Order: sequence, then C-alpha cells, then structure tokens
Amino acid sequence: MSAPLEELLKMNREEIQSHNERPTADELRNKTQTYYEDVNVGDELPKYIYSPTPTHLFRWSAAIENYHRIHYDLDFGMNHDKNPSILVHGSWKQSVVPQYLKDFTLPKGWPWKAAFEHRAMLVPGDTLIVWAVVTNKYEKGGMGFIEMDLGMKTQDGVESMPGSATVVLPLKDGADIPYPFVPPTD
Amino acid sequence: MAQEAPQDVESVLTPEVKAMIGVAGEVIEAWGTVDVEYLRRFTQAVMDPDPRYWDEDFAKSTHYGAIIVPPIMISYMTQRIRPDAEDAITAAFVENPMSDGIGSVKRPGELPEIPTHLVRTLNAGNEIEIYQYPNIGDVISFQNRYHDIRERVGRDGKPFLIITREITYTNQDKALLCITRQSSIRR
Amino acid sequence: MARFLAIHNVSGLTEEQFREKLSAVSKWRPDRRTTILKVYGDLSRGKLVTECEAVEQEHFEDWIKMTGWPAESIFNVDLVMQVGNIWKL
Repeated sequence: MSAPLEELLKMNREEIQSHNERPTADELRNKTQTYYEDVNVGDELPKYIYSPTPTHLFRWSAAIENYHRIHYDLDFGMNHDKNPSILVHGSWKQSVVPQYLKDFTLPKGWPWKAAFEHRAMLVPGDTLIVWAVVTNKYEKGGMGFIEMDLGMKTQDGVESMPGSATVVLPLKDGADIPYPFVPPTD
Repeated sequence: MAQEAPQDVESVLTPEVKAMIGVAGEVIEAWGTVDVEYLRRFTQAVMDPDPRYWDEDFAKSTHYGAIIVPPIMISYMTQRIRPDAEDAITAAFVENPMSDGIGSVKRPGELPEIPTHLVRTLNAGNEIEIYQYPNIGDVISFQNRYHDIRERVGRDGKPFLIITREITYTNQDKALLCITRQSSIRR
Repeated sequence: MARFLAIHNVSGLTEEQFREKLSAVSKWRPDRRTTILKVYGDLSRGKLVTECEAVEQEHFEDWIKMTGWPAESIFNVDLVMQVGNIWKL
C-alpha cells in the first residue's frame, strides 16, 4: 500500500527516498495484473521518487541529443538565463509519465494517454515524487478505463507537472486488451 | 479566463489564423532506425529497468511478442542532426557566440509560421497518446500538424491564442505508434 | 531579476551551522523570486559573502532575516566574469 502523498510531504528527503516504489527489473518481470475491478476512485498509485543530479541531467541530454545549455552549463544557465541552477528537463519529466503508466498497467493493460503542464523549475538537489490518484473509472467495449490525476511534486510540495491520464485495464473475466490498442468507438 | 474576445476587443483569431488549423507539414523519415543502443541509453537515462526492453527471450514470451521500445523515445529522433546537414552546434555559435546551444536550426517537416503579430510564447501543456510500441529496426516517420487554435482573453482583458501542434509517428508499415501534442500560448 | 552581493559578519559560525542553514533546496531557494547562488565563508574570521538573484533587494533581505546572518552591506552586481565568460547582468 502506497504511503499517502500527504504523509510523504511531511517527511525529510531521506525519509521520502525510503518510500520509493520504483520497481526493479525482477518486479517488472514478475508483475501480476491489476484488473479494472481492483481499482477504486480515490486510490493512490505507487510513488516514484527521484533525486536528479547534474550527471543524471547530462545523461539525459546525451541520450536524446538535447544540447540546450540550461541543462548542463551552470555558468550560462545562471548568468544568461537567470535560472536558479541547471534545470531538470521537461522532456525527462514527460518521459517518466508513460513509464509510470506502463508499469501500473503491466503485463496486459495499456497506458493509453496523458496530458500535463510544465510548471515549476526543478534543480539538482530537489527530491521528486511522481504521484497519481484515481478520479474515475468506467467500462467500455469490454475494457476497463481508469482516469487519474497525476503529477511530480518536490519535497516542499511544489507541483511541477500537474496532469491527468487514462489507462486501460482488463476486466477479470474479460478479453485481452487489443494490441495494437484500438480505443472503442461510441 | 473568458472564452473568445468580447465584441469591443479585436479578435486575434483572424480568418488567416483560423485557416492554419489542420495545416500539416511533410511526412519526414527520421534519421536512422530504432536501435538497441539508443534503447539502452534512453531507458537507462529515464531509469526504467524493464526487461521487456533488453531480455529478448522474456520479451518474446510477453503479450507484445518482442522487445518493446518506449514510444516517447522515438519522438526525440525527430531532433537528430542528420549527418548530411551542416553541423548545427558549430553554426549556432558562429551565428551567436552566446548561443543557447540550440540556435535557430530549421528542422525538416516544420510547419509554416502562424500569421499573427503576437510574439511572446509560453508552454501551455503537452499530451501523448500511445497505440503501439515501436520495435527494434523500425524506421520512424513523423508529421507535424496544427491540431487546434483557440482564442482566450486574459485577466488583463487582452486576447491571446492557444496553438496546439500535433506530431504523428508511424513506422515503416505506416502503423500508428503514438501522437504527441504541444500547446503554446501566444500573446 | 537582479543580482546582489552581501557581506555578512557572523562571528562564531561553525561549519555544521553553515551546512545546516544551506543544505536543502528550500534553504537556498526559498521561493520562485529568490535564489542564493553562492555563499563564501571564511569562518575563522566570521565573514560571509553571499550572491543572490532576486526580483528585488527586499526579497534578498527577507532571506537574510530568515537565516539570521545580518548583512554589513549589500551591493548590486552589474558585471560578472566567471571562468572567462563575461556577463552583463
């Protein structure tokens, strides 16, 4: 059971990090299916905790070939763009979201769609909490749709990426979710 | 925030701006293929240890039948500097010694500019829709399109535009992999 | 945003206290308007120099009050040379 977000935000950095629920390779390999019927409105999903360092930012810049200096050149970031430090990439933040949804829906659900905004600047030293809360659920076309609010908060409770998502889970006695995914028509 | 501009405020959603809705760029083939090395570097950088990305035997046994690739990973293939193009980084610093590292490089498939006098741009949000995982060896094509343009009025009474661009990603079989959208405020 | 420099007299300040006052992001970045970019310490002589980016000096002064390190003087910074790069602020 995930520690409530409200409780996590009262903790210090080390305590927050100890509540990290990012799955290991083996946990993802052996993950059992969450079914539509297992989920209730108001449920909190697992919390993914990150503590990005300048090296993590550099690795991301290199991986996606993003050469924007604000992510690796502290001198430029602070003195040209007047940023508080080098900045965590919006592209990294938004790449965590589909992973988070994939992990929740594995092995046979589908991480269909997400929408989010980029708000507060994040810097090395921040501890980041990826969170989600189920806001709605419905059946359609023999599949279970779960809607949720989600985001990425700092240890100080600042929301840096308010968003929402819809994922698809199989019904306990239902058919497999089609792959490639085809949303049911009205 | 109000909807469209009231009658005494000049609308910025002109017929010329409205006509841009649905305008699409060329379909562009991204440089290179989806390869295991990019997949390794990307999944390590996003810190996702999922064996579906690297354990071939396990991946074959799953619902997806093969190694899968995070769909958002292919979206970054569009910004690759092609080897037959000018060195964009060097060019950026020749143009401006204080360059931000990106410069004013024109990317293939870009959309025509919106014909508006509003110049200040702010990010208003992103979306992603996922339909199929890319696979190793896929050749990715992408196409930009103006998905929507709306007018709103700010608290200062001045109208502004919300412009949503969409990029559709397909593979060599023209199968839809994912769609990303990016909305920006122009004021 | 503007750049400021302050000189502080903080006699008896220990390294542990210095670290405690500056360890978490919220302690050097108290809000969106204010970032403490650098703090130089000569603890043996009780001298600190602080560099701050803030919307206005009052926000920097709020941080100074919060830390309890009184400033002997505060300056505006117009030009910076950092590792060979010159920035007009």
